[in-house]
Amino acid sequence: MIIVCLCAGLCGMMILSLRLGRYPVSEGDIVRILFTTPPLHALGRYTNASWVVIEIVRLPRILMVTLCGMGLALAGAAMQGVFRNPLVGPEIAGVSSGAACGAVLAIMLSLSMAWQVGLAFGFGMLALIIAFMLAKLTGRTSMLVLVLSGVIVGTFFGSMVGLMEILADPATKLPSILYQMLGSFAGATYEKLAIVAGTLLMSGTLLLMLRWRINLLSLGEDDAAALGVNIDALRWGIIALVAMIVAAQVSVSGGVGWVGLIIPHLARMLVGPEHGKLLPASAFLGGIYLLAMDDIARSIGHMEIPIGLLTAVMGAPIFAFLFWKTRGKGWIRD
Amino acid sequence: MMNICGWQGKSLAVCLFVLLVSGALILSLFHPRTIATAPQPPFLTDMSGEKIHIQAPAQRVVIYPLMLPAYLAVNNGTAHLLAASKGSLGQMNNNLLGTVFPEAKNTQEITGAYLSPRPADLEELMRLDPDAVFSGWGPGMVDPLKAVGMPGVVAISWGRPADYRRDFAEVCKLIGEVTNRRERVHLLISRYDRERHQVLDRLPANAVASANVVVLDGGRSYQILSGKGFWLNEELQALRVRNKGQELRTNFGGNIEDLLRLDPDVLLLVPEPGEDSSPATFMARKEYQSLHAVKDRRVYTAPMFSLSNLFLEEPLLLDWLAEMFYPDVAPPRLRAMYRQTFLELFQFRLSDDEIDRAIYVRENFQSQGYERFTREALQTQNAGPSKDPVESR
Repeated sequence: MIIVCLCAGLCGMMILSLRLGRYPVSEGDIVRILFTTPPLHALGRYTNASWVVIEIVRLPRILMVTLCGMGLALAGAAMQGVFRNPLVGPEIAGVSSGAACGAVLAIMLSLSMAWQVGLAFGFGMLALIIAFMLAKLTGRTSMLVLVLSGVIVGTFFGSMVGLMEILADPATKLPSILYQMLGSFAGATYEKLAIVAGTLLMSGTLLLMLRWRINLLSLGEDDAAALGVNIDALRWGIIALVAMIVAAQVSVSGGVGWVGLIIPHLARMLVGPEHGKLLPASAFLGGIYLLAMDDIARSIGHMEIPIGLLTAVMGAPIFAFLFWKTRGKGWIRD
Repeated sequence: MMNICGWQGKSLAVCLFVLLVSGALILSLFHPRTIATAPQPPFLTDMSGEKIHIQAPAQRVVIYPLMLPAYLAVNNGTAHLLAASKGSLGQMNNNLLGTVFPEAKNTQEITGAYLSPRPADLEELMRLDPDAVFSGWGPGMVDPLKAVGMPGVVAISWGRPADYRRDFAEVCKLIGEVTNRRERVHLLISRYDRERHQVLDRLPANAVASANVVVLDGGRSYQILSGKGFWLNEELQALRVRNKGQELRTNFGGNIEDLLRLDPDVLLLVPEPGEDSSPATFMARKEYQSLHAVKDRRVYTAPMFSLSNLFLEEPLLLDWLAEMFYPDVAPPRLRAMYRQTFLELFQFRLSDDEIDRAIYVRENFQSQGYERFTREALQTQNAGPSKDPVESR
């Protein structure tokens, strides 16, 4: 029931977000624009600009924010289940840093937006492959090894980004790089939405179908193995699915952190730790959260605040609150 | 519904998820990307090579790139200027055109980070309903504007520093096309050529500056700016002034050891808005005491402004450099040249205080030989038998 309510809340939030923006469009016009298909050059009962604002500016952005929020939260919940660690987020495999490196490289080379998105996605997956190979080299597949290889890969690509920032032309390239690193959904288009939606449909659905097995993983390695789970394959499979979601998100909007870390905790407070409910609840709650953040980012001030900054500013106190709220209880409800 | 069967209820969540994401995917694949507009005859070609239609003169102009001073110079005012970016408006803070056109500072600011790579708020721009938008060029700059059917999007692209003059001329021509001020652009460009040659022709043909120079960023970092690709290298060469900064392997940068190694005779500080760019502050720093330029007090704050008003400011800068490096042969005419320029182009009479601020008389008072630029020196000179050749014109 809670999950259905969360889904309904998400849909309501999306409708509310359509109303927000600097260009005045009435509720009646929004309904007419969404549910009628007039000839594009016709004025009808609403101006052409109103159609553009709703259909070209706001709608793809709202959908993209929703899907990214859902994906990050879903990925975060899955990773926390796999690693049995509440401090793990979807960025642990170094994919975010890899994707950021790819996007920054595209900016340095003055490539088109399509190349920027493609390189970000490619480098994100490359980061995952390198982390996998590093873990394989050690001959061990414990969680610590996975985390360490992710940290190594993330640090490496992060330092590459830093190097490119130093080399970048401060007048032309550096602002674009910094803007990319702070994260923003201002450049949302239907092409980018298709990338996120396609990736999330495949990876997110598979993650949801694997949610029962994540339950088994959360019992511990020995118990899971005894129940017939191929731990290594499952772990790496989930990490790969998470990596695809994160790479797609970073490629279209830059770095947006803290969502995958704190939303699973909030969802756990609502529905409990059982992943059958936790994963979908996290997904819907993540969509609501990131949509709210984006609405604040584009409405609150004279200038749009990069959303990565906002989620960090809001995320830290929320996490501190959760920390205090769950003190002495552990993070898995008995 | 959740109680029909345990697993069916829980599959509902998955179904809702798939439904939502699939809907977004289908919408993204089949939605029209841009609005259809009636084709119109091209009017001008912008710097990205795109043919743009604009009903000239444009009545509502929005400016994003750092080119507001150029617009004011070509347009001779703020007429039809609707809004400008924060960075563009910031250029008026340290610019004499801000004195000539004080109303420019009240221009509406269009939201966006200082050097944001894209317009931050398309809706606000649409609400303003401009008929011409000067935009930066690059991925994510022009495409969002065109996707919402914004008319008259003119892309501005700055190339290498060595191509700055060519690019600036192109920017001015585009402004002239948009504002129907083609004759004024021609006036500005021809005047620039004339003034520039006058400065160079006044120097003896075989004159070579005895001093060499390095140009630094006058902010906290004191980075070397006059590397290989420095925009002023061509003019320094025309003045036969040796730029030691070109010995750097990069276009700019270097550290203090590079500066100590180069050890130029003259140091020029490019003023940084909001920072203390005075020679006194630089010369007081212990790490620079061994430099020849510091020992001889030949460190100066240079009257370099926004660089987005090249045709107005460069001849003035050129004359300043000529008088700095050839004090014995170059006639003292800088103040008169400032007055004449602003009178001729804007019918604005600069005061002594305004000229003092423009050429940093107060900042440079401790530097060697700068008294020649003060108003007292001009009064002393004018009291003599021969008048300044510029003012007697």
